Amino acid sequence: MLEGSGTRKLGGRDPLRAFQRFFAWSIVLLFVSFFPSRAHAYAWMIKHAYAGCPVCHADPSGGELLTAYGRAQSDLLLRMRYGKPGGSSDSQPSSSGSSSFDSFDSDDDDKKSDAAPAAAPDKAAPATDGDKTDANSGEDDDDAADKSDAANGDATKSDASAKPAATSEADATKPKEDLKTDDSGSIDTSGFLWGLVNTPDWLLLGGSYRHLAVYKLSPTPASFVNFPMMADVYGQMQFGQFRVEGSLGVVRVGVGSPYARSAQITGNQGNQWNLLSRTHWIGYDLADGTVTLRAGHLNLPFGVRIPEHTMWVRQVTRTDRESAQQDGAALAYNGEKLRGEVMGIAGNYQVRPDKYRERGYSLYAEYMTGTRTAIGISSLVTSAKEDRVSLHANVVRQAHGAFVRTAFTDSVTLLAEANGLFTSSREAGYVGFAQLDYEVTQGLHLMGTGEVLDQGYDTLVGGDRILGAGQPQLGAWGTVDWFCLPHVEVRVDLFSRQNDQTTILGQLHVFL
Amino acid sequence: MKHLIKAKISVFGTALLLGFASLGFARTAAASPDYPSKLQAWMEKKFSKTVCAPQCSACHLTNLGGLGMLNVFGANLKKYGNLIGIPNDANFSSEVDAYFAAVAAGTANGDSDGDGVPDLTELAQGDSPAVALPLGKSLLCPDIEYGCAGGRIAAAPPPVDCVALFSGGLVVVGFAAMRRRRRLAKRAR
Repeated sequence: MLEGSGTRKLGGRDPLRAFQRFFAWSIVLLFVSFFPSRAHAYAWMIKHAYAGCPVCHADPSGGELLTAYGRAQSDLLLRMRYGKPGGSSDSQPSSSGSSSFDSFDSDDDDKKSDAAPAAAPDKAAPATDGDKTDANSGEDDDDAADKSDAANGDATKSDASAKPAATSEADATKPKEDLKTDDSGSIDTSGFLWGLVNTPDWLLLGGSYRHLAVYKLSPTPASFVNFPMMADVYGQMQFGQFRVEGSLGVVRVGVGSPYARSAQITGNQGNQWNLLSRTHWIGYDLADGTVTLRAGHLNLPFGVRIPEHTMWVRQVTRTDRESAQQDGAALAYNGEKLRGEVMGIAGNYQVRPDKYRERGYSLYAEYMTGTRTAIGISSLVTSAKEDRVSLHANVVRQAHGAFVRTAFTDSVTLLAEANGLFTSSREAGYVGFAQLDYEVTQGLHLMGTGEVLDQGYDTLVGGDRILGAGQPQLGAWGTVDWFCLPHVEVRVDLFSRQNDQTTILGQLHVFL
Repeated sequence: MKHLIKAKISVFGTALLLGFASLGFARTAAASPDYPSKLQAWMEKKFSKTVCAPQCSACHLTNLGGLGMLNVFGANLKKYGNLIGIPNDANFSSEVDAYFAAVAAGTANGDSDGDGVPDLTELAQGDSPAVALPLGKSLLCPDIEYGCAGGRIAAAPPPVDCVALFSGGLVVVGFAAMRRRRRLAKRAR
């Protein structure tokens, strides 16, 4: 019955493949119907020796819009390949064609760690000159010849570990016409709108639709809500070394919601629909693209850029990418070993009146201590005449800390961050998290996260010391994250925090 | 046989399309309980006047909310009104009534922040019942506004769910794209 749907790409009839596809689509349907999403920059990509972000992302510090190279990598390294050659925990498909999940995670650990890094450091500093569009393509002039070699030579290696790197290199340099089919003969779907639109080199387009289902369990009666969390499109134009990027989306949140509001463009204050823009900036690449100067509405450079905007490290420091962006100017550096960004914050001009705007700086610097290990520091100081979160007057907020990203093996990655919090009218506090990511097979991640928070006792308001404000509060997350199809991610989180409800989040993320 | 396979693929594709399209018809809501608008409705009924929707900091330590991050007023509401803290709490109004009934009965203090002004009076005046005066003056509804300068631009909620249209369109375009690519690949072979 399923022969047709599962065999066309392979050029033969493969019931197992058909079943895999049917199963994948069924799960998507299930989530679509009963549950609903999320993804972005994935800090655990360091395991592929991608320490820097601009190789794959338009934002020099990572997030959202992908470069052409990033799109190719998302298809090769991120999503489940169902037996086709990938670049993560896969091996080659078996010659019989009856590849299965069991064929993944073969003996390529040692080899891949040599192969993948070869691609990354070269790309950490994309060059820009003349009519090249490096930031958009993630390409490097000097690498072109190497990549051609990779396409002609390395790609033919039978070594399972060398294949992913070589393939990705080749794909990234192929003319777009050649990208219509990959090495296994299937259609390339990594392009915008699953490859429907071939954008010119100077233009990057992307978008995300995320649907979230929230099921709250104990200790109070269970409750269920589901809603569209994100519906954004974003794009970037590049002319020489000059870049313009922006995002546009729609959202509808309740009165008083801490989310989305500060990214609004339109001014409805109630539960009406609003247009929003999370980022919009102009930038100029310097020093062969290793340095980028930007001005506009930017993500704050701070800590590990994780997609979980409600994780305490992002929420309490107000450095998430959900709606914590601020207007200002930033200078980013992406070298081979060292990367970082410093931003002068002029305030969020999508919040009024001016007394609620925070001004100051935010920065991070990260150094690669090994092929797949990086350590970094972050610092943020802002002041506002009135804090829109605590509503206290003349608030100075400080957060300073360190973070680490490391891949223990090809499959296991650790992300951790700890910050001290120093806020006027509060005692000193702290926030931290550690996340262990185990990629069972390419495209399927199991994650365990622990987090801790004490934002400090509020000396102005007084009252009892409570968990999270005067006393340490602990939280734990368990996550299954499945990149099941091209441009589709399904994720389920179970998290529990002290003195809060145990919650299950179901997410479907479709990105264009 | 080929026809049969095509038909089955077509059915499968249609089902998939419908499934994706259903994304957009999910009820628009929020992860956080919609307490501000519920408290606004309660106050308008209680005080017989139009009031603003209070900030989350009416009951929480900050505007980030959180079940465990209750201020003294929020803690009293939870304790004496048995407020359960779930999204779309249908019993919110009676739970707030229960708190003030406890105040009237002398069970609860009724002045959470201890500034000498009862919670009910502070709510009516737009002051925070959790932050002692004068610090809590007008803190219930601060003058924060979101959106770019120029005031209210967007219209009232549209009669059609925009996100439904968006996601429906997205699905259609996606499938059109995939089919086109397959055709192209087939031709190429």
